[in-house]
Amino acid sequence: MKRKAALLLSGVMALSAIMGCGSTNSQTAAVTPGGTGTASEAENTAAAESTKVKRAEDEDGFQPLKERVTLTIGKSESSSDSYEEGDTTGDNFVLRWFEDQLNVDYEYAWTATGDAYSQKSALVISMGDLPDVMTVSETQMRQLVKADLIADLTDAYEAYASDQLRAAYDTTNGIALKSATFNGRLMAMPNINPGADGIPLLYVRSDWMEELGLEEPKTLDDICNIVKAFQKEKDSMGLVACKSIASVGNNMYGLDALFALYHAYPEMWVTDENGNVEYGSIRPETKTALESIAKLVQEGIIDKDFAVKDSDQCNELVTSGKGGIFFGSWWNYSWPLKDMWKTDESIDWNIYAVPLDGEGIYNVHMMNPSTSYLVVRKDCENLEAVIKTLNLQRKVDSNEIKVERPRPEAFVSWTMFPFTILMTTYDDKEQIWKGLNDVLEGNVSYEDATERIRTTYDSWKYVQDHGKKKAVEDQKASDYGWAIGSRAIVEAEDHMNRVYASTYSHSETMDKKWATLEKLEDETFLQIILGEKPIEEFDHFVEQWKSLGGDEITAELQQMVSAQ
Amino acid sequence: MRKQYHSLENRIVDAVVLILTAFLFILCILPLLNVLALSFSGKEAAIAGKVSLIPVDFTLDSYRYLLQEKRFFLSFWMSTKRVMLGTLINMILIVLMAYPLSLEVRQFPSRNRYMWLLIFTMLFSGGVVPWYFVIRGLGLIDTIWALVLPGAVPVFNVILIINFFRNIPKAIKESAQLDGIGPMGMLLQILIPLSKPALATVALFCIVNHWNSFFDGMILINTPEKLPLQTYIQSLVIRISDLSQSGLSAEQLAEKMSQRTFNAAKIVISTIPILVVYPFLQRYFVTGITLGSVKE
Repeated sequence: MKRKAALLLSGVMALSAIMGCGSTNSQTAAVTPGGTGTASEAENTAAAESTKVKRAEDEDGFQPLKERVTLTIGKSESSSDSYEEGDTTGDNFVLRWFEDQLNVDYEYAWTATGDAYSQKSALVISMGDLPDVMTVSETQMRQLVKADLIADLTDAYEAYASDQLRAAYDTTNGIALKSATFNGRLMAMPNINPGADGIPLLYVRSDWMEELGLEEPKTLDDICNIVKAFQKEKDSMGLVACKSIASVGNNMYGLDALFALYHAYPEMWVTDENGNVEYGSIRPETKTALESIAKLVQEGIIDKDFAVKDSDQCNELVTSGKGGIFFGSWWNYSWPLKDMWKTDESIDWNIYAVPLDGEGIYNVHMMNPSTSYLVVRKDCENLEAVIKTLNLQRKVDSNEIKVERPRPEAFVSWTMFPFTILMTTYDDKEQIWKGLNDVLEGNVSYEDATERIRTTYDSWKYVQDHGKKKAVEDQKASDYGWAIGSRAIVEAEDHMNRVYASTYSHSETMDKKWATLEKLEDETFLQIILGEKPIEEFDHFVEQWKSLGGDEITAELQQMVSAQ
Repeated sequence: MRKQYHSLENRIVDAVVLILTAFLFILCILPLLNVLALSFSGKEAAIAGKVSLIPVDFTLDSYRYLLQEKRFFLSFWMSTKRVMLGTLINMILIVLMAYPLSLEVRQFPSRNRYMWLLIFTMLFSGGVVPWYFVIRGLGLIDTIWALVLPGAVPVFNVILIINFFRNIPKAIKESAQLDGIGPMGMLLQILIPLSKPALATVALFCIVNHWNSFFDGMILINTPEKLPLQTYIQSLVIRISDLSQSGLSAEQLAEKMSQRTFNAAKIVISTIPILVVYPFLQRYFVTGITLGSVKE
């Protein structure tokens, strides 16, 4: 009896320990956004119902509202936000400052962070229980438009958007606003991410280059020579790369630049010769690029183990001095590379926008400027307050105006603004070097420069005056690092060919079939690059890709593009 | 006997079992040790991925910083309240439910009907959206009750206790009845004292369950200051791949990475309550069995 009971209990405990994990997973998976059933004619009625608002004479987009109104918001918080003593998420000095400026009450209907936010927004969308304002993904925006749950912002934008906000949208070549326009009506306000995040740059250890007397790289051959020299003299590994070989966006340790050298833009919907939408990964240029990359791996120019490395491991290899060359983003000089100065100040990196193609052009795929969308509930009447809040958020981001802080070192981040939507400009990062350069050249005086440029200049000076090691230790080197990264892009400007996607949208079939196609692509590309399969496998992949839903998706996207 | 035990066959089985158990043990313990080591390591070493099982650049900075993090302690307190309240409600309902259902059909004719109802809820559920609707309709959203009431009757645990009650020798129950004990007395004076090991186990299940669950906090709580601890921690520990799609700027991404040691410290602290509770309940696991009270 005794033994039986003990056995039963321990068995049950073990079982529940195993099942415990399983059940939470299935619960999480059960949340699916629904509510797409209603009204396809919604799009038409939305246009007709929109209220006519005219821009007043003295309206610059920053006038406080005549009567105080309340906006309820679904708030996406960042876990790195920190608040002053006594302040909370829903009531803090940043929010109060916005409220005073515009005479609007911001009330958070609910607040969530990261993954929890997407779960929660999916839930409220499927229930149709929206707050006045919330930020959603592109797919969710499409669902909401289809279900006729969100307001038409066209007239409000026309009436209240500040010149500055319009100019910011203009920097995206119209991509941002176009992505939120349905049947000629603006249904959401897209965010604007800095485009520089998606531009790959080649990082090379400059102290090694100098020691070995190497020339600046221009072509792929130059790069190979540097790698070979590093391997021979410095006992370093090849070009550091991680398993994410191509991705349009933030792609540290990717090989995107090598693809672009051959005018291949995998993972991006490009415009073909006839002006039609085509998937970059299946174009013949990609085949050429894969062949060339496979050769580089075979020769050991690219680290052979890249397929099993993630970016964390690559960081370690680079910061520990095992690798001296890789493709990164503009901000990598600041993080993680600058931390190397703590141990050795003589380490330094050069940043190049290479390899150049036959005509001396550096091709880059440009990332999607908009990844999240601000939507307003259909029957919300305070569209003026919404647009004006965005105006003000943009103005703060541009450093033209500052949030008043209770004490100078109080923490402020854009994620603490009423709407968690980044309103910067597409060329924001390029502006760092341009602004700093103006001050350094004496075109603009330090006093006239914006606060960001002043901070950057201070950091620049600090590094010059006190050395890199001290600057890192005193935490003054970040802005210096960003400026260096920004410079690399600005200086390559005259021979840079920015390639934009035909569309950055997601179509409906993608929800169902993209995962399979993506897996097929990733696996095939890896096998070809690693030499496990011959390059002819590519043609087979293209056929398979098309028949497994690729054609269908292409047609859908084509339709979207033609409709706009 | 002794000779038989030491036979080759037995030894091999022993060895295999031992190796398998040791293997499982290592699988379970390694990630924990890694987190522990991370929490005591220097930031740079952690970011560079140099920390495996032993702290690199030993420092207590993460814990020092943690002491200033108001929200962590708010969540800690919220979780503590939830565990106490939730487990109390769970235990009361489990015992009250298990007792009648442990009777025989002869004593409680519609017993099986109730039993099926109970099991049905264990196998089928309405799904997340209706579940949310009900809780919202009851006005529980954003209160602690949303976390303790929806799961107030853990059916699985009820069944455990039912079976334990049934396994208590009938002779004991009958002799108590002969002495004129009522149903309440039977429950309070006979069944509960005799079921301590089972109740302790179930209580531990409830405690761990309440302490560890994060999903309901994520969906049902709207104010960050009221989030239970695990939901709060879950929002911190996100993979880089998720981050790159979250629309965060590069600088923020970098900053998140640098909080790794700090987050590890939070995880370590959050496991302490369970580690403390466990030994106290464990002593009931083996004692309290009804051995020797009746001769059969």
